Amino acid sequence: MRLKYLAVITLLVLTFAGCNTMMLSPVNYAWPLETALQMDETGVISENRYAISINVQNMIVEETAMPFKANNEEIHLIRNQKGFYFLTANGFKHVYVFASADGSLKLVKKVFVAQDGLKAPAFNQREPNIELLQKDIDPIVLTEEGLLGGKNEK
Amino acid sequence: MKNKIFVSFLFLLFAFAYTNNFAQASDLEVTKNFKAAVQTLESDIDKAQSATEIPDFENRMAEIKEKYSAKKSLLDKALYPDTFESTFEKVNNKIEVAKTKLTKIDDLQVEVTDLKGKLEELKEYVNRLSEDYYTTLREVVSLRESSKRDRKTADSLKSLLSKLRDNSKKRNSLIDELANSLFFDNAHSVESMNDAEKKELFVKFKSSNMLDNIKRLISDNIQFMEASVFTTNSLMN
Repeated sequence: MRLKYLAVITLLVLTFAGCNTMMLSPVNYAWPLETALQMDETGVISENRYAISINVQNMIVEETAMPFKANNEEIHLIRNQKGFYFLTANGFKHVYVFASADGSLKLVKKVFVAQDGLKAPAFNQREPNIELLQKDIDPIVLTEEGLLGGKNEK
Repeated sequence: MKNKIFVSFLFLLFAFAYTNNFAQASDLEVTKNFKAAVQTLESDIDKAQSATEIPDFENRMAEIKEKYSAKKSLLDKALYPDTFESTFEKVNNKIEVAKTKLTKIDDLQVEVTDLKGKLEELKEYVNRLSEDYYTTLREVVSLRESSKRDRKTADSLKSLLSKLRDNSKKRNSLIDELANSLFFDNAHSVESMNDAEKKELFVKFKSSNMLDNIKRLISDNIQFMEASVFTTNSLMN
C-alpha cells in the first residue's frame, strides 16, 4: 500500500515538474529613449535600433474615426520597464498602450490625455513610469494601466 | 519692502528656470541636441586651419560636457554603443590629432615663408651677379674696341675676362642649385613622377621665372664667348 502511495506521489511530482515553465526575472524592457517614426504609405513604422516594425493603421483609424490615410505625422513610440508599448502622435487625444502578442501588439489601454489633441508630444522613460510631454502643458505620468492615479478609458 | 520681495521672487524664478533648462525637453530632444552639438564641434575641428583654433575647441568641448553632465545617465544609454564619456574621449582624440596636424602645418608654413624669403634673396643675388656681369662685359667690349695696346690695358682686359668667367660660373652654379632645390629631390626623377606631380613641377617652374633665367644664361654665355674670342694675346700682338 505504501509503495502505491509513493509511486503516485513520485508520478505527480514528476508530472508537475515537467509542466513548470522556467521563468527568468526580472527583465527590464525599458527603452532609454522614445523613437519618433514616420509611417510609410501602408502604415508601417520601423525602428532599426530595437529591430521592430509595426503596422499602425488600425490605431490611426481608431483615433481619427476615418479610413486610413498615410500622412507625414510621426508616431511616438516607447517601451516601458514591463515591456508595454506606448504609442501616440501629434493631434492624438489618446495614448495607446499595447502588450506583445503573437506576431502583433494587443491594445491593453487607451488613455485619454488631451481634449484638443496633443501638441508636439514626446515620451520620456521614467522607470517604472512613462512621462508624456506636450507643448506648454505639464508632463503627464503614465503606466500600462493609464494615467498614474487618474481615470482611464479602455 | 514689497518690491524687494517681488524682485527676489523674480530672481529665484529665473534662477530656477535656468537650472531646469532641460525640465521640459524630451529625452529624445536632449539627445538630438547633444549629438548635434558634438557633430558641429567635430566638423569644425575637421575644418580647422590653424593650431590657434585648438583652445576654442577645447573650451567648447568643456562647455558641452558641463551643459549635459546632468543628463549623463540618459546619454550613457541613449548613445549606445557609445557613452557620455566615450563621446568626449573621441572628441578629445580628434582635437589631439588636429593639434598635431595643425602644429606641423603651421611649422611648415613658417618654413615655407623662410624658404620664400631665401629664394627672393637668391633671386636678388642672381640679378646682382647679372648686372655685374653686364658691366664687366661692357668694359671688356669697350677695351677691345679701344685703340690702346699697352701692357696695362692687356692686364686689365685679362682681369676683366677672368672676373667675367668667375661671375658666369657662379651664376651658372647658383641657378643650377636653385633649380635642383626647387624642383627635384633625390628620390624623384621626372620619369617617375605622376601627372599631378608633373603639373605641380610645371607651376613651380613657371612661377620661379626659371625659364627666363636659363634663357638669360644662354644668351649671356654666347655674349661671353663672343667677347672672349678677342684674347689678351691678340691684343699684345
